[in-house]
Amino acid sequence: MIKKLNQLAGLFLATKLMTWAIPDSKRFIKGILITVCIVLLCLYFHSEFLSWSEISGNTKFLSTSYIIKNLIILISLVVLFFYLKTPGKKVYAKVKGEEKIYTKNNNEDYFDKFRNTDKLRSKQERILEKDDKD
Amino acid sequence: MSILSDLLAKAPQSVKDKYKIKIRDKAIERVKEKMIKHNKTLDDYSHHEMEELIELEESNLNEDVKKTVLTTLLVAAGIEIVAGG
Repeated sequence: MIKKLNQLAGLFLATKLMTWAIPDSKRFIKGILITVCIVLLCLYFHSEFLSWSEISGNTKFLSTSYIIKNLIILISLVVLFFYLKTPGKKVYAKVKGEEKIYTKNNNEDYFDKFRNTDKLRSKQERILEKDDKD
Repeated sequence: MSILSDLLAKAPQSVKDKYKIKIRDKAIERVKEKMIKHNKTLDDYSHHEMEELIELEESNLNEDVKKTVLTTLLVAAGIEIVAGG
């Protein structure tokens, strides 16, 4: 029982870690799940149609049904490929009441220069650099 | 800090970059929250002051990550011992 719980906790933590470290993994999982659902639904409806045509003896649309089924699967896979290929729009998390800190001169873009800086300098580093210059 | 630094040194560059971006974004978020709490605007701080604020939050976040990783490892090890024994 405890081992099962441990496994579940491990799985949960690994998923959390993956979504935290790779933000796009949510998009990836979403795309895969939707495609799998579409393909499974398509297969289900097709098998239902095959059963119906077998019972009723109506084989008029049999070849068309196969073409439609394979087309749907192919299109969903192509759409998934392009969905995963195109990068998602980068949206920064909004803080409640964030607009209060912005002024006419400075808005959200103000923080971009800090986002694009490789290494930020601390107060200590700045003081030490100042001492070096003196 | 050394454990986290060692871990980051071994990780591939793409993972390192993603980690840094994530931490920087979170640090900016925390700075924004603090500014809202103290009714400050962006004009109240110079570029250097803002850089220092974000850098400080980044260091705090790295410390938090280190503590969380260690706690998780210890809890996992504890559960493993309980389950085994």
